[in-house]
Amino acid sequence: MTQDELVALINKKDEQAFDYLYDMYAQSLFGVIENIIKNKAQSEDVLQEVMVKIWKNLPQYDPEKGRFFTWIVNIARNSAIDKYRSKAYKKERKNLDANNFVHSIATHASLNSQTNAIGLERFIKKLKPTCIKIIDLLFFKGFTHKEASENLEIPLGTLKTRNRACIHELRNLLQVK
Amino acid sequence: MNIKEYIESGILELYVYGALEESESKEVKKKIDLHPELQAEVEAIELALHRLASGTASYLPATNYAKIKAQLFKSNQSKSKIVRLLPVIGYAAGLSLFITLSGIFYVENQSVKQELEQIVNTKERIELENERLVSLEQEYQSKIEFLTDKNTKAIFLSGQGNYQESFAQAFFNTKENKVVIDLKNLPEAPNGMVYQLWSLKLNPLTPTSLGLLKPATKNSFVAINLKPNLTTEALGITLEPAGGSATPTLERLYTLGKV
Repeated sequence: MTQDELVALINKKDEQAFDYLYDMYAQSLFGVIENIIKNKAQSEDVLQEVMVKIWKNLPQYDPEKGRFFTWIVNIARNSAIDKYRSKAYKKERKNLDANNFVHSIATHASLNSQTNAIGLERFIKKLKPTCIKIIDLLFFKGFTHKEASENLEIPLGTLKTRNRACIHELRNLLQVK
Repeated sequence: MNIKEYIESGILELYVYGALEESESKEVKKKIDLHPELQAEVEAIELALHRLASGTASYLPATNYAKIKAQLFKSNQSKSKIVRLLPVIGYAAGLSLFITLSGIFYVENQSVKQELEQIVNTKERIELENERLVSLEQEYQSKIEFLTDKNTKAIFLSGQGNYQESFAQAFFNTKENKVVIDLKNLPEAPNGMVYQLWSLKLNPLTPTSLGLLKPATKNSFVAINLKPNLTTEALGITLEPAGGSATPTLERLYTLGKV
């Protein structure tokens, strides 16, 4: 199913549509949330909020502004960051826990019902450390490319091409051609 | 436009991240609509990130799905994901034994799920109760702080005339210009009547209304803020018709105390 078809289906707002949404995206959104909050129970709470928010705000999704996946990941990140701040840490997003997604995979691998997680960990560790850092900031933590370029002290153009190479490597590892 | 160069520039990755400005994203989207190669590339990038994120997540329990569904579709709370999947699995396998086993597992799963839901509900109730107690504790703390403040003076308002049995206590903080009244030793105000607090200047006797005393419960205190520059030499409480009076009805002056 293409994303447009999915969005059209979800817009019907029946239960089957919700099931599609959940089946397709709950797990990856949970991954994004857990990466920020690092607490399973609280992440579950946030995921519930996020799924409800997506469902209710669906009419506001504008395909001209970006991918559906981008839109929902953004909702997940923002909700997770709100939750994280409300825990009175009151830190800037830039100070989000230094642990990145590699750490999450390692922690969760033994608990994960998806058998591919262990495999995933093995693959991801093959990524260069700079790639892990770049993907972590841009994808999981939701930095803009300008923020990430400042944070990593890499010029904008270089960051763009380096990130491209990292995603290319990730695709090879995950066999997404 | 050279499609290959555009892909190699790395802008599509940033597009999928949501790391571009809105105007840039709109530009990218226009180009994607024109070139199927870009569409395919974007989908591949997205799939990789999708798999990466799923792979980092811990196991997501079915109760999570059930809870969200209960929130969104109130009428169908107990319908579970497994119900939906079972027939598919059953037909695909084509084994009646499998269906039977699935049925048994389903029933077991449902009861475990129900138990879990109950536990979650209990936990939520306890959390709410805890929140209530914490805020109650804070309320008590702030009351104690007020009562023990060095600028707070306790004033005993003794029963007057026919109301010798009654008394009230006032705690008057001259710095904050605030008075707190404890009414529990006054009889409950009859229907259509209300107690009113007065600030009194004695020579000549000048009453100024400080407001109506409506405790939230029989035992709770009533706090009243005073206007600055008001000279208060005594505090009095009268019983007045609902809504209060412009001047005190002295026949129903219950209690009086000098500041």
